[in-house]
Amino acid sequence: MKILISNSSDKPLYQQIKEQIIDAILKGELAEGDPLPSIRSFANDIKVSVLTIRRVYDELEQEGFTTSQIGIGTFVSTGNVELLRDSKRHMVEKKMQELIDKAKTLNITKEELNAMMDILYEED
Amino acid sequence: MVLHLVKKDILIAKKFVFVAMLVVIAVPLLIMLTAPSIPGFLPFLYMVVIGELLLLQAISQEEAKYPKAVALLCAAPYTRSAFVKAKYIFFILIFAYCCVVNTLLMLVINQQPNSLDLTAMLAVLLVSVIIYGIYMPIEFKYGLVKAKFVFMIAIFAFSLGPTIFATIFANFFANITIDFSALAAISSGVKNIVLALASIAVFGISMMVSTKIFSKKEL
Amino acid sequence: MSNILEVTGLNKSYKDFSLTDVSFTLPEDCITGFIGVNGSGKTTTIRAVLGLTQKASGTIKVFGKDMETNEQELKNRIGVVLDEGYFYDELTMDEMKSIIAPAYSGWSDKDYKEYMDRFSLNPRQKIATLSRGMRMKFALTLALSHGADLLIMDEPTSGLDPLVRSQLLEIMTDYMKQGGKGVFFSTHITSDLDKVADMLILIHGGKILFEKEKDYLLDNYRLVKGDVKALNDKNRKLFLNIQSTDFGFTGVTDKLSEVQKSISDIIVERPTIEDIMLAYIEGGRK
Repeated sequence: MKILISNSSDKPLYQQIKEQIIDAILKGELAEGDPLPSIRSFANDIKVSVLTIRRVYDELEQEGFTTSQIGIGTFVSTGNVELLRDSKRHMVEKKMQELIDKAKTLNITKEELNAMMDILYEED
Repeated sequence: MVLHLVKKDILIAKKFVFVAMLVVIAVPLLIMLTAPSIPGFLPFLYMVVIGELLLLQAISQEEAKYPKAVALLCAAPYTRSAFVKAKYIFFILIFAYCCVVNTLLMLVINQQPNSLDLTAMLAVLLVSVIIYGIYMPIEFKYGLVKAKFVFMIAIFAFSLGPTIFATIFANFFANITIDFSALAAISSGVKNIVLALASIAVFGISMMVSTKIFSKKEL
Repeated sequence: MSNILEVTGLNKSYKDFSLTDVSFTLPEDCITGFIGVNGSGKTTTIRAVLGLTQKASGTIKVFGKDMETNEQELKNRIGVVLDEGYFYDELTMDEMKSIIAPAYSGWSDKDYKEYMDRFSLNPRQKIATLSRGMRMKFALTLALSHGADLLIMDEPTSGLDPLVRSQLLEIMTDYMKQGGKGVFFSTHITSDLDKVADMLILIHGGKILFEKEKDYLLDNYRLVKGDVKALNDKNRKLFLNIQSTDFGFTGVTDKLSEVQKSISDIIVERPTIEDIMLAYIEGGRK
């Protein structure tokens, strides 16, 4: 699992970490039932406060991505396919909304946006 | 706990302890050799007073050099009262040492007509407990420098020499023989108990006062 | 998550200085940095926590237990590193250890030897001959060799070169890996905290100015630079503090979006702990 945090980004640290973990889960790099690293060692390795990791883990659990068992650890949730799919869609929808908002402020029309989308999607 | 603090006191004043032990042996020898007519308990009194003040002074001096060390020890599970007790136990140890040395010297020299009996020993104990019992709380409260002032006066008075003391005592004895004969009538057993109790009382009160003072002290 | 240390309503007065209503909590598994300029009350607070000085009022709880009534039991679990001159310099390190060790029921000679080796300290060396860095390492050795669950350190890094400082920080993080531990250290060198602190408590003039997670501070506060002319009474209030020169202003704010709405041409950067600390202090003075 690759977690890279940027100190110069505007996004809060915990959010960067959370999103990258969710990314890893959705891409399958972290499979269902896989354990997440312990809070302390994780915090140490990526040089962030334990409190931040704790918040990340709490939110991941709240949002259903992980389950934690006291004394054992935190694991990627199993059988939450619906949720994950919804999450995937949700994530993309969120990005799309951001895109649309930006386009509107820059006076780019829906047609232009769609055209741009067609071109860029093929480029990958 | 307390014993470790006593060990600490000995450790920080290592050099002085050695010197003091020698002085304690030397003092009575000197007195007995230069003024053999002195009543037996006087050299002993000198031994004890000089030994106690010397050693305890030396330790207090070392402590005063490194005042924060006490802070570190008190930040550890050593209690304030343990600190105080350690000093008082040290006093007892010195006294015990003096008793042993004195007894050994008596056996070796074997010339003193007025050998030390229990009453005299307890009397000396009481005197030194009173002196020390007043000195210690003063040192705890006001620090070494001011307490030293008191100590200086005591040392001065005592080092005026056996002669002055002997004169005073002789006159004292001469004038108050009547009272003393009455005292002498009291059985030595009772005297001993009174002296012992008085010593314990003064010792205990002084320790309590010192503990109270030290508990409130800023470290 | 339990609290390792809870200070509530601590008050203490000296002639020229007082601690006023100092309250804070240290959560478990956190390194807490106690920051403030010289004379702000850090050492006084620590001494009050350790019972080295009498407090006028307030409660201090360690591991959930009251310090006054459980003093010995709690001190047994606390490792202490104090600033200067806390040893009998005439003694060797081993002799000093022989005085301190018996006070702690959890003392481990094995740990002691390991740390002495790790720090390359010769136990038979006289303390008076040690450099400042070595003295601190020795103090740390003593503090870490009795199974302490809480480390309290007063300015452990001041006067040390960067290499020794980073060694100390590394030891701190290693210590925390054991779990169930806490570290509370005071410093005015905030760059050390940038690296290891989880929580930050700022004290100034004997009062606590803030008690926040370090990442929270760094995530939410921004350093904003812009044209002085763009400042007005209204948007000045958005900043903790503003410093202006003829060439522009620099301000610290946690209301970035509002600032962006009010002033268009600005540079935004992440602040350091020091920036935030100074902004709080300077801002509070006005």
